[in-house]
Amino acid sequence: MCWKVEYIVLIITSTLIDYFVAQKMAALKEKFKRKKWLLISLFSNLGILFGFKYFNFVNANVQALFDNFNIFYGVPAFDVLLPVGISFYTFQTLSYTIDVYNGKTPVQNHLGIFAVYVSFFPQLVAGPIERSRHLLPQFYVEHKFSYDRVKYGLQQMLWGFFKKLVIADRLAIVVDGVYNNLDNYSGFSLVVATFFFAFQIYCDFSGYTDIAIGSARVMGFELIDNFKRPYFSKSISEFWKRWHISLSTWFRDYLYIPLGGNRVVKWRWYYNLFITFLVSGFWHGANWTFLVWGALHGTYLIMAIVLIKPKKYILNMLNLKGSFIYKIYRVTFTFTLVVFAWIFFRANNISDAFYVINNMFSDIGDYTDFGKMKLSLRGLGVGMNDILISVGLITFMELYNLYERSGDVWEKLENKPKWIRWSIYYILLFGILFLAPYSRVSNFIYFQF
Amino acid sequence: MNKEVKILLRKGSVFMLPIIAWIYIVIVVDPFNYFNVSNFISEKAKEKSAQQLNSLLYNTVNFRNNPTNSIIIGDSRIRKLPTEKIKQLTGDDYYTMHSNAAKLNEIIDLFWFSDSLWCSDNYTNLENVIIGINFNLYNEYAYSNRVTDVKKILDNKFIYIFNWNILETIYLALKNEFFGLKPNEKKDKEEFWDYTIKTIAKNHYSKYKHPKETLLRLEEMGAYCKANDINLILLIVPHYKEFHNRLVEFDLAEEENAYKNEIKNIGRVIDYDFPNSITNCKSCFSDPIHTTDSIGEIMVNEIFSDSLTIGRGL
Repeated sequence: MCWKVEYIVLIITSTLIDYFVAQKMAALKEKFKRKKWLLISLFSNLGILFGFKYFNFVNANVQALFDNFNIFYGVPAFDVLLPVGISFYTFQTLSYTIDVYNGKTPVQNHLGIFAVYVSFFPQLVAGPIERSRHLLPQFYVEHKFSYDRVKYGLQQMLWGFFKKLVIADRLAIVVDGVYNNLDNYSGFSLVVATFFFAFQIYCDFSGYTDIAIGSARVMGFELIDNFKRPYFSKSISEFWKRWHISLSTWFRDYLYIPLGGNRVVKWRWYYNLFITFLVSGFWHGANWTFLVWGALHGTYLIMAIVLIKPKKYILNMLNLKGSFIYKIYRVTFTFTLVVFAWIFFRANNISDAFYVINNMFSDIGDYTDFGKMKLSLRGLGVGMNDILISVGLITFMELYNLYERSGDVWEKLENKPKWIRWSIYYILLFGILFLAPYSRVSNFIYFQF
Repeated sequence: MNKEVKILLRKGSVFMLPIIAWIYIVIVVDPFNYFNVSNFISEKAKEKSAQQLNSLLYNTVNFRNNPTNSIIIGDSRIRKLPTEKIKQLTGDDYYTMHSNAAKLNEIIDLFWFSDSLWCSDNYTNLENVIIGINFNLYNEYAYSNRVTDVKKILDNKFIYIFNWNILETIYLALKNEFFGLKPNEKKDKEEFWDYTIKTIAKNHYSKYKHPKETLLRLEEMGAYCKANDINLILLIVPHYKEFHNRLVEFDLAEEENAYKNEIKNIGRVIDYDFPNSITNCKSCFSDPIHTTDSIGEIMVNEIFSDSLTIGRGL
């Protein structure tokens, strides 16, 4: 991920192509005639994305393949850096042309407003990936200053900064320390780092989303939700309705359903699921680790369908259906599967991921010995107090999420006395100021995609 | 101006008052002498609280405020070398840049930091450097990265003002100033002695990996000192024999020999951690790894009068 002023040409190119393609499509009544314009949009947008994000990966793998057969392959690598936000705005602008093609959204005649839609700064670099139907009409509404709206936006930004700077960046110290020096770690340290990564990425990404939604709200714009307490999901399919919602719905609407969705024969349904998640993994980055991560989630979903009947039979036999214990089990099991997949997402390469999997339980016999556990945490680069503070912050964040289940936390706070509200603001603000590891602040993880 | 904008500005200003008040408190109390503009708190209260909670930051800021050409860098063990005595013997002002539980990579970072201050401000070099380096530091697992944090604090006032560690130190400094300095709580010597032999030795020696990269950095530092006429001494301070035996119990005797061999080409190495009259004498130590003040004086006498009797050159 990199910022270079020349890369502005890319977003301008995408904007101009999609603006004119949509104009052309709107002028044509027959769908088959519109198709060639849609293909121009798809090829040009995905072509730019491929060139900047995937070419070197594909090239390196083809090179390795040719080397295996001792065949000369002289295509050089493309010396470019990944432009910031390219995956996000490409998908946002593509959704517009596909919707115009399908007649689901009216064509946008004002080039300036369309350009603002593509480059709307709060969500430009890491989403949420907006749909034209939702965002474009908002540019035509006059946004008068509203104290309540600005306050609500600032509250959401405050919570987002807290998640990013206080929780995610604190967890990142342990996670990066371990995952970037795997040779030095085994056993419990790997378990702790992997568990922490699950919350690091959630707080990092949902923190960014809250800041984006909050800052848009300050200006009078409403963006779509991207997260709904994903780690309380009771199944993987539910997880994907709660995690990075704007991307999962994008893939559902523009890939999974066009492939046939679930209204096909079973094997084809499995195929559609698998391909959708494989592509979703690849969207995240040009690395085998992301492909495996996507494939794992696809496999989880297929297995969930395959095992529906035996699961029902066992549940009926044990009379567990609907019980609280079963709900807890489902949440825990889903979380474990998600965390397992995160290993591939975080690892720098496939062999690192397998190192983590093979070594994370190497000292499982010591897990009941607190002294030994403490010793294995030595060398994580932080003290025991920091580990406890991190666990405390994760608990605090999940309690917030639990409280949010019955309605928006900030709306609920409005009914509380002023001293309670201001105390909470100060706790969060001073938490950001004093607990964030400012000397080790890291970039938002999703900026690299 | 819109009425609602006025409400936001008014409430926002009131909301910001505690933050402004905090900035004022930090500048006035300033336990690490970072701004070095206020004497509201006595130097004694500042030093006691700052050394207790962040000796690395305190020593680094003080060195930045009053740099010397000669420095001693290491962990708490190196603190026992009396700088006044060294001045008597050599006429040089030494500054002890110690940090509690410092790691070798941090000690090297501190060397470069000290050198950079001289290079950037005065266009002169350091002249004398003593590095405290014991075997437990010579381990890839003995790694920490606090100097980077300290450098960022030195470069950025915001990080100093809004820092949990500074908040704690300010509280302690105010407590020390207004409620009197309390003497350090005396630990039960025997209990702490046992703890050091059992637990600290285990922490030091149970996990070992040769520090390949740190050795390269040490060699780079040694070469730089040679090239710039900096007198570099690597000092291995003594440990009580019972503590040293733990190293053997963890099967690291060979690694210890290798370490001494590897560092002897980097600079002048003076070793006190081998069976000798200090390591055999329990009363020479306040705990198994920290010598008493009188032993510190003996070492200084030997090192600076070039007459090693107990210690040995490698």
